[in-house]
Amino acid sequence: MAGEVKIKLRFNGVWREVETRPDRILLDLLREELGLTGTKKGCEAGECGACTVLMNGRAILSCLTPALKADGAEILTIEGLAEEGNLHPLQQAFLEKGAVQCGYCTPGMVLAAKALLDANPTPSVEEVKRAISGNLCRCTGYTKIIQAVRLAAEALRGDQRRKDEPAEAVKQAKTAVYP
Amino acid sequence: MNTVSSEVVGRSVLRVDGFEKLTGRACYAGDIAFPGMLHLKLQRSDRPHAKILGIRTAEAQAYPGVVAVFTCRDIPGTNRIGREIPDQNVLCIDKVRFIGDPVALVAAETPAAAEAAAALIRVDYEDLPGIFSPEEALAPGAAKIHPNGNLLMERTLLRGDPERALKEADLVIANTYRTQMVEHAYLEPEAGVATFIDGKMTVWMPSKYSHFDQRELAEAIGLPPAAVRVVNATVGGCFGDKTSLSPGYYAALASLKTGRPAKMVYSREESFIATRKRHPFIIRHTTGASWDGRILAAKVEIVADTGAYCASGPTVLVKSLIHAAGPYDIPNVSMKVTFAYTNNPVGGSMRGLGVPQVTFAHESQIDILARELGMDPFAIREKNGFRPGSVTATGQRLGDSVSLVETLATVRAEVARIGTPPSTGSKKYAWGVAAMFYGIGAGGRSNPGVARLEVDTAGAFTLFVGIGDVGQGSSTALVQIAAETLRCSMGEIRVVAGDTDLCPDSGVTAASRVTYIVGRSVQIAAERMRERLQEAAALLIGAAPESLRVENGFFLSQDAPLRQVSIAQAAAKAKERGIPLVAEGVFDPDFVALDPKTGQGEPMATYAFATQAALVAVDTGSGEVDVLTIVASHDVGKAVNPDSVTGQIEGGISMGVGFSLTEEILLEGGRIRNPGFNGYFLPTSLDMPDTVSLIAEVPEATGPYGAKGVGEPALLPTTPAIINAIHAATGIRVKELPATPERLWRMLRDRHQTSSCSTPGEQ
Repeated sequence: MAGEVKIKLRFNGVWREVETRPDRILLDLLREELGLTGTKKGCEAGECGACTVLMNGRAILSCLTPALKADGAEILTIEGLAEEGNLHPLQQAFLEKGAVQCGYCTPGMVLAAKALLDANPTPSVEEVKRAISGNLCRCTGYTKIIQAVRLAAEALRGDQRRKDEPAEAVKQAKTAVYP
Repeated sequence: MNTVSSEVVGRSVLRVDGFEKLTGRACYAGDIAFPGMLHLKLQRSDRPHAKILGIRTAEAQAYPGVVAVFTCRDIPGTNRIGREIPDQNVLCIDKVRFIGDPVALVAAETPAAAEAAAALIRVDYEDLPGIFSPEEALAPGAAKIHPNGNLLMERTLLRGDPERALKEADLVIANTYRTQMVEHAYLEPEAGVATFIDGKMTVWMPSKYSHFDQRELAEAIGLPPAAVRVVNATVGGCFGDKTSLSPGYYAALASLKTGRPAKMVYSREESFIATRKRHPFIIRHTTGASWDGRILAAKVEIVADTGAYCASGPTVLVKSLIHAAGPYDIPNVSMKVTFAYTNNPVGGSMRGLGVPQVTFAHESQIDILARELGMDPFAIREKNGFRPGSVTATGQRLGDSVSLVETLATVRAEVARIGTPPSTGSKKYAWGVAAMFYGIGAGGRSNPGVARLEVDTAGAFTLFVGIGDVGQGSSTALVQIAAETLRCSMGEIRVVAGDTDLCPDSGVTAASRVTYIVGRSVQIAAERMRERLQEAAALLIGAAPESLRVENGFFLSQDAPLRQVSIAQAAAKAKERGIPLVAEGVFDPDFVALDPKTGQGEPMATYAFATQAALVAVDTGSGEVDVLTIVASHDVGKAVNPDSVTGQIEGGISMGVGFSLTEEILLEGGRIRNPGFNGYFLPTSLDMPDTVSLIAEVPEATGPYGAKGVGEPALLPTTPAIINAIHAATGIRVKELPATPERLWRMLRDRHQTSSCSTPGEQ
């Protein structure tokens, strides 16, 4: 077994120095070394998206990323998204829209959506679909997830919604009509 | 979560487990770790059918980090599993029956050591003839997979005189339909963790039926059931799977033998190879009708591949028998359903329990009839569709909660509103429609739901139910029902679900039964609890208990309007007076068991109904199908949580799109060729159509606040609607699933080479 290598990363805002085997994937470093089990293992082959985290703001598959590649990087996992117990607008929108069922794809899905909204604050339905197309969900049929991402985009753009205004008031993707 | 009472049922309240799941705090079995725990890996059979001559484990034993290697000889218990017929082993004894059958178990200090050592186990096999289709299995002289042969079960149904009715019918059509093997493909691969401390085994695992797993695994590994506690971890998807012989069983075995905590997590590939699948069906369906579109007779013969072991084969068989004639009033019906063992992966419970297969067939048949008769596809379904008081193929007269015809009308109107794009060049657009009915709960047998409610003297309630939330939102719905009945806020009710030491056995999460059956038991428990507290509150107020009502957590009396008593005060008084602070509810819907020969009986107390329509675009050049829109109308009795209901419908549609177009376990000599998401294609966000999910509510008198169920019904009409749309767009009738581009392209290419058949007979 190869010796341990020391790397330094910023996890959810905190710089940490960790020792890791050089053949370790970032996903295992997160789950086993750091106890950040919110990031999920669904296939270990880069096919399901459950392990998506943000590295320097970009959505990456932590199951395909060597831990060493994250040396010096800033990593955001689902545990770091809510600030002081206040849900991020994406988390809030997922909750309000009923976009969570079994929850296993949720952390990766939320982070893939965050990467999208950070880069594109006004995504169309098609753009949302494309951004999450690498994240499989078996429960929801994606519909409420897409609605939640658009609702969060609106909230993040600073549209003042009263807290108890029903989510339905937010414009949804309309079914196409063929005259 | 401070939803005000009396508005709880029927509102899309937020999920009770949403915060945990959105912040990464929800604890799935794979997230659990104990210091010093062992990691496990199975050596599985690489042969479809073989005798085990010997298992050599010395090399694996000697591998660095290995603590123990177990074979069947090391299991102190019965080593038998199987809910309906215990024909399967935790570790195989003398024979393997499919590729993936578990043979030996390695326990090691690290997952890597366990995996490396498992590969060093040498099993000496003597190969036996492999059987890979039910026809081969049932042929005379076929090698026997089990001592009693290869027939798992055969059941028949007879109502009226179908042979005579078919002779007298104006039009008879007969077709053979084939459906594929499908993987559940929940995103969470199976996992289990066990500790064995002071004689008590605790197992954390995702389970759709913790109490069954507790009993089965206790006997299998040789512990009294009371010494085993199964705790449902957060379930990362289930869809009918995740019970019996899961990693938790192996973790328990290793922990029992070593005294150390043990953990096992399946890889995605292992999850594909080892776990149960949707049964592939071959359905020969004959329908006779009169020229005016009345269906006079149906004859259905089904042969299904149940794989290497029984699992839930009999349940799936009976469910398919009950539903195979569809939601239509047909006076003459005969059926024969045969399930045969093969050396393929094991068929198990999967969302719909055999009904998605038969719905594809009966909805294709009625679509063909409509075309032959020149009738509108909605009109023919309306003409024959169930209404209150209609009689099903099993001879059951339906009650009042039957709104099939309403769902047809709703979908028809929505389809007309949306319209159809004009076909251009090789792109053909068309709508297809399909309907379904689905009996809620187990078919023709008792399946009680049980719930227990406790209150403490601070006025806080705890609801105990044996079934854990599998993602569909059952915990939220059950708390809603309790809050509605107790007229308190949901925040006052904590739910404990799926822990065998704490919760009553509520039965299984299956057959869309949880809201209807367990929900009703929750309502009964809450009513009893309210009565008890009311009795105590009446003492405090000094009024008759009947004069009290409860609102927002306070008892009020019209006789003493200025006095109000909180739940906490009532609970304290109840305690003082010896009134129990606990209440239990039990609900077991009425049924009449099916006659084993005629299939006549009243298997379920209530049925759900639905219609869906699909708009597809077919590229006749490539055979590619794009599902653009699905309109779905589902009669759920009462939507306890409308967002959860539409969430089920959308998820069901997505699964139906996969069943129609892309998903198929490809087998070659019993070996799965595509055990991963790179070869087994789940619908992605880009494949999901626009959906219009409409809820129809015709209350079921025996259900909680009128509710029935929706989990499985959501999926059932999607596939035939898509297949019927493909026919409407292209004239191609797909009778074998899935309609992959390649299959459709071949059929389009071959169309001109075969004579188009518009006379009665094979279509």
